[in-house]
Amino acid sequence: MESRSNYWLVAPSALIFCALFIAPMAFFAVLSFWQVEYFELSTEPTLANYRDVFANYWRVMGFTVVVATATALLTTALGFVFSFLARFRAVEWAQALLFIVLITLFGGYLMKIYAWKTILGNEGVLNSALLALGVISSPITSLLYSPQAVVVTLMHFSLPFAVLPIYASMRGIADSEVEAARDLGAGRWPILSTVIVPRCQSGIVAAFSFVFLIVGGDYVTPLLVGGKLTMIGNLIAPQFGAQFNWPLGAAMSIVMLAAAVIVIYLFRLLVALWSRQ
Amino acid sequence: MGSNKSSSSGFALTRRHFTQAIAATAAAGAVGLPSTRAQAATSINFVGWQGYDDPVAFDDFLKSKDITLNTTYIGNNDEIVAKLRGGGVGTIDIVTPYMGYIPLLVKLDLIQPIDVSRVPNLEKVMPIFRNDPNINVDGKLYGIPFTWGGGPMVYDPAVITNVPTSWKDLLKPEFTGKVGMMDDPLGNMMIGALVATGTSTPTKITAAQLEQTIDFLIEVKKQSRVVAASWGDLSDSIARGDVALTFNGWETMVKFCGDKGKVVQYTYPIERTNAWLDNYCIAKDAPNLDAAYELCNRVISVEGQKRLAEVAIQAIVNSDAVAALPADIRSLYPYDDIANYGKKAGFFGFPPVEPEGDLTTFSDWLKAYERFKTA
Repeated sequence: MESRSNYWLVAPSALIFCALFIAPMAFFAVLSFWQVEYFELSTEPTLANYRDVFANYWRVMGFTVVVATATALLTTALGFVFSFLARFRAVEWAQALLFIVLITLFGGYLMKIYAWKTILGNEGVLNSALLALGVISSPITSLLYSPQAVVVTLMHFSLPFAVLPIYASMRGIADSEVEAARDLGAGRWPILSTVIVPRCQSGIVAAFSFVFLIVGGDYVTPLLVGGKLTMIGNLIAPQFGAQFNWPLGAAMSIVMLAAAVIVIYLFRLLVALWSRQ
Repeated sequence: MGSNKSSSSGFALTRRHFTQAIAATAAAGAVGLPSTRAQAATSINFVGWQGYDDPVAFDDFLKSKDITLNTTYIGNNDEIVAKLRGGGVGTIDIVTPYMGYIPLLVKLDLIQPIDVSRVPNLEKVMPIFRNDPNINVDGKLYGIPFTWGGGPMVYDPAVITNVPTSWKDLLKPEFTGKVGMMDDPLGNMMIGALVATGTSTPTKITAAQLEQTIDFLIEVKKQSRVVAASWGDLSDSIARGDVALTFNGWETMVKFCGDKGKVVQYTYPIERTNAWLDNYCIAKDAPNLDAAYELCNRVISVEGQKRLAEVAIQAIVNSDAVAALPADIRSLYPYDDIANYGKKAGFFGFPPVEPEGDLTTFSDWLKAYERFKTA
């Protein structure tokens, strides 16, 4: 009786999840097997869109996965260090540090992008400072409009999404666990690798997943700070606008989603293997 | 503007339907209640570029006609097609496509012909614009042209002393890393076709010519530092000193850059460039036809046109309004030699939407453009 009432309690959220997530995904999955010819939708099932994706877009998709993986790894590592400091090294400042992380979320996505354009440009803050200090004689042009500019900008944007789940996991680690390890003779690294990382693996995987998915689907950052860079989002977005080819856009999205699931699963496996050592 | 800027969203209409439903519910609830309020104003649904509503909305014109404007701004012309096809017919009154899209909108039965007797200000519109073949389909006028522009090469005279005369000059080693491109598929490909194939009708090219065009664009991209998302971003890149000259451009960038403290100039290369002509069009089954015509007439009035030229620094079409402009604004565009504008830029229209012999279609273009994007 009690378990049945539990089902009713989750029913509203399940309904919202189905309506806002499952139903649109199912719609796109069906759509990906249709085709558009001269602005007219044909509902005859076909695999042509998927053939097109694997024949023509695999290179950009691979590049996007590389950029997203690199950004997710770096941001997760940075988020881990930040959380570690807040939880174990600067406990009295933890609330303030978390507040600083959260407050950056209010800055706005585009504002961060334009801030980095101002920092990294030819006449930007960084180049101007280096020129004034005599470190360089002409501006470093590769700072902006490059893959590294995209990674840095997306790291800035997604860092809070990495810090929050990792810090939440770390709060579940009791001081006594760390002290017990220390009493048994474990040094800093063994404590980190055999106690702290395994105990917050769910937070680490969640952080990596959040960042990977944000970066994998982003198309504004590469447009504004990537220069000539194209990620898969830049090719998916026009399918729903200029090209009016929703079925192809849906197929590209589904394949990218599958790639994301595989990468996140592999990362989860990696963290689990580490934790079993 | 004939350029693409950002992605479209089909949500706006849904949201408007929702708002209308709420309004209708509220109105139904109020039935039977005594009211001293005047009859509600006519609410025009306007889908177009931000700022294109300003010439009709800046003063008390709308108020005097008891019209309110419900605006949905677009990021690219394709959103007009998407919104009309996505349920907008019957709710949208005015759309502002560039002339190249008008034959497509007519073919898709999304806009209606203009009754010229209801737009008396058309008489003041310069013939080069009023008679443009793209907006006159099967002998009927489908758009009210109100602003135009071209895609010249914009450059920073402080950096570029040896000003290129040809688009091909951008490939010279001295310009490596100094070029900024605009992510404008149609504009880029039309200019690319003019240069790479030598054609005078760049929207009518074969598959082989399309390949040549993309190859040329990729060469320019190699020379470039950025493929900008919008005219504002391209102007920012010049103003910040990140690039010094452009492939594809817009005369109004002189104003954009000037506002950021950078003096730039433009030139029309010998191969010519593309030009665009934006229009007020009345959507099929527009629910507020009379008010829509009021707006169409107003946007090409002297007052509306002067506003467009003086505030948005856009090129205008009404000869009386041009004559009334201050000299510094008038000098931004080649009004004095408008009859010869065709020697510098062409209003090329649109590639075929469906196969025509061995000519490539719009879909072929967009597919081919992806090769440029991923190169």
